[in-house]
Amino acid sequence: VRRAPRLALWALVGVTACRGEDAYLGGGHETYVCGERCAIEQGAPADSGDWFWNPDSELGAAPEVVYPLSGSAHPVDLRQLTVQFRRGRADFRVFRVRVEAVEQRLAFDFFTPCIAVGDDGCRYALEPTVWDAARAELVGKSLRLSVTGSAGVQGAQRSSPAVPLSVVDTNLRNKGFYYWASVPQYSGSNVPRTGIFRLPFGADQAEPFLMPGTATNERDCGACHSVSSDGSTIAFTARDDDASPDQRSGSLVVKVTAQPNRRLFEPAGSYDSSMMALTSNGKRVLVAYDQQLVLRSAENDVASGYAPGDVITRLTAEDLGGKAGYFPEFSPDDDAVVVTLSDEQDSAIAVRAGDIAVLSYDAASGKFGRASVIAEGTEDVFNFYPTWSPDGRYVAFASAPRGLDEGGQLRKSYDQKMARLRLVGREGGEIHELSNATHQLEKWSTYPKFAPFSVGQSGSQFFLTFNSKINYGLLLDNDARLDSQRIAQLWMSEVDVTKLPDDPSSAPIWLPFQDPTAPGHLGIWTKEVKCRTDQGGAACAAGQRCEANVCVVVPK
Amino acid sequence: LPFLVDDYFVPNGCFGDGDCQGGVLQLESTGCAEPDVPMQGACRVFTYTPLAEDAPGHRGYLGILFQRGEPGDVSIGRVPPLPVQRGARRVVFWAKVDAGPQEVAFRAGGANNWEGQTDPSLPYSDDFAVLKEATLTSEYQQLEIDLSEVEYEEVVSPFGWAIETTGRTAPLQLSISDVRWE
Repeated sequence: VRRAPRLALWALVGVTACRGEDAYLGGGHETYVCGERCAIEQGAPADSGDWFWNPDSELGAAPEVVYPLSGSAHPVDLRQLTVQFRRGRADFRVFRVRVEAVEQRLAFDFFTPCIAVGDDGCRYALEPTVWDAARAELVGKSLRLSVTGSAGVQGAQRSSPAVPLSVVDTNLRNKGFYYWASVPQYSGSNVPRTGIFRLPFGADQAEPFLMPGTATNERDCGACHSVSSDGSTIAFTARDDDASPDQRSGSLVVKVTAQPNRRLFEPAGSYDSSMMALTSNGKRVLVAYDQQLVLRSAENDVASGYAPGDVITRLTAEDLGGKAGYFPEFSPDDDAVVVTLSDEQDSAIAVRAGDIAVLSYDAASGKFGRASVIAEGTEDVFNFYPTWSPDGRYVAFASAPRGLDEGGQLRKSYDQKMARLRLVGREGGEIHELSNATHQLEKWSTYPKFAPFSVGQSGSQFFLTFNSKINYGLLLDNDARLDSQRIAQLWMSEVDVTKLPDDPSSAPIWLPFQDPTAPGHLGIWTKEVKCRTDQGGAACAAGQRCEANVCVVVPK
Repeated sequence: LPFLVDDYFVPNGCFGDGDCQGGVLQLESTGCAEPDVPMQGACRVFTYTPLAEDAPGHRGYLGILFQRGEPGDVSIGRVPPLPVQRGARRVVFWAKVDAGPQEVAFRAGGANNWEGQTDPSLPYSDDFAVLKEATLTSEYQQLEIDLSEVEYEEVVSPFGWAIETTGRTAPLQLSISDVRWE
């Protein structure tokens, strides 16, 4: 990438030529200077800026932006954005990716050859230094992104339709993100590295954190997990790598995140965990398994009156109005828990019917109040996987139609093709579709998790991560795959509740620390990533440093 | 052209110590912590732990060829080629090691056709093989393999690397980023 030190020149100079002509002999312009708002990618000519002074031709196909998605909100803290587009005319040799704030007449230009993807696609990762400057300058402004192809200095050019998007202030930098992934190894045993990865947001690389068959997880598998929002504690179900849908071999494991090689208490030798939730301080864990919810101690403090692992409270279907509790999550203030209530279990990890319900919780006594249903399932639809907004006023969840799927099986919450994202108030009321976040129906958009922080003057803008099997531009063409071979990835949308009753969600962005050839699931946010203290000293992954016991990304 | 090798090929063709089994090779494909180089494509970190001379499977070297990501047998010579647009001039990429200097042999082509050796019992081989030897340090350097004299229509392995251990048993970390044919 070549960048010149001088300021950019963005002067839209009129050029006299006729639309529909394919070459331009006239039309003078000032020589383009590629300055601070410009980057030229390896393989593009040094005078690329001078290739784009002609009016758009009407001949041949124009480029088409495939990613980012129209209406997406890009965190100012997130460095990577790989633009993907169809090239249009085959004779286009250089492309200009332009991100512009039209009202402010401010543009950032990136010139690149078509780095080929598939038959007619191109990819270009925005040059990070220029994109850093662009995000800082463009945050909060109404933006559009377009791609223009050019055949030469005096050749034809055509532009894609502009894609509206925004750069949003998120305050997510260095916040923790824990997710489950399966990273291929390709060589040797060819067994993927599957486990729980983590990173402080803004890091380019995720750290393998709880990996099966190691001191961090001595069993074969560990996927279902919860992390306390203060980042201190992680709980997960460690189990054998059985293929049975019931997965009744899982035991609860709880660790402080600073010492993932040590357990807080010995796991049971038998099934006692499917999905779980930690309180915000990590001192209690509510475990769903065997059609019950069990509150257990996760602290090593004699004064608490409980030893680590002790059972404090147990809620059965009898306590919950005849339905069992699944997929719990504590509210941000730990004054309530939201669950899925179901009287139709599919397996230990999935339901075929579900209501979303809130139970008050008293941290001092460990007691729960009565279940209050806020999003009732119907004969046609079931609700599952609830998550609290950071202000505790809303709950997002997934919904899907009940009944038989294409294969004649009863639909279940797990791996549900028809799942879509929705939002409801803490007290219930109208259910709002998060259609922009879901993006497309029948693409497995599910398991939403709110980041536990908000932005905006009134704290009304939230960020919601979820799994989906939509396409990631041209780099992951899920639509070309059989259903069974689609790959779930983690996506994130902004949710701005001031837009209610309209859809408050934005089109999603793909989280760029993933490998698009490998599945990623269940992203859990924390306020920080604790440094590891079980490896001698205070350690963080490469590219990070430990400051006051917290891993932070070393600025580039 | 140009294209990123990682968009079409994966590092699945192992040769050398233990055929990469038993912890000889560990691969991180979730990116590099400090790429500090312009990067369009994947950045992968290969951690090679050489086998001791008396260990079963010891060969004294390890190599990886990028090939199509095929299910099943991915041993070299059994993975079919991909058609690649003619006219590539070079393979260009960035590389470093955790502690140098370290000699690394990079290559383009050469699958089941290395130094004139081809096993005719295997179904696939490259029509060309180009070697690029380099001394890597802990600083990224951009390297290129000259393809200007090469003729091809299909490619089994567009890129690969090999390291001789010369008795070393300490782990070695090789970072490779942004491998392009252009």
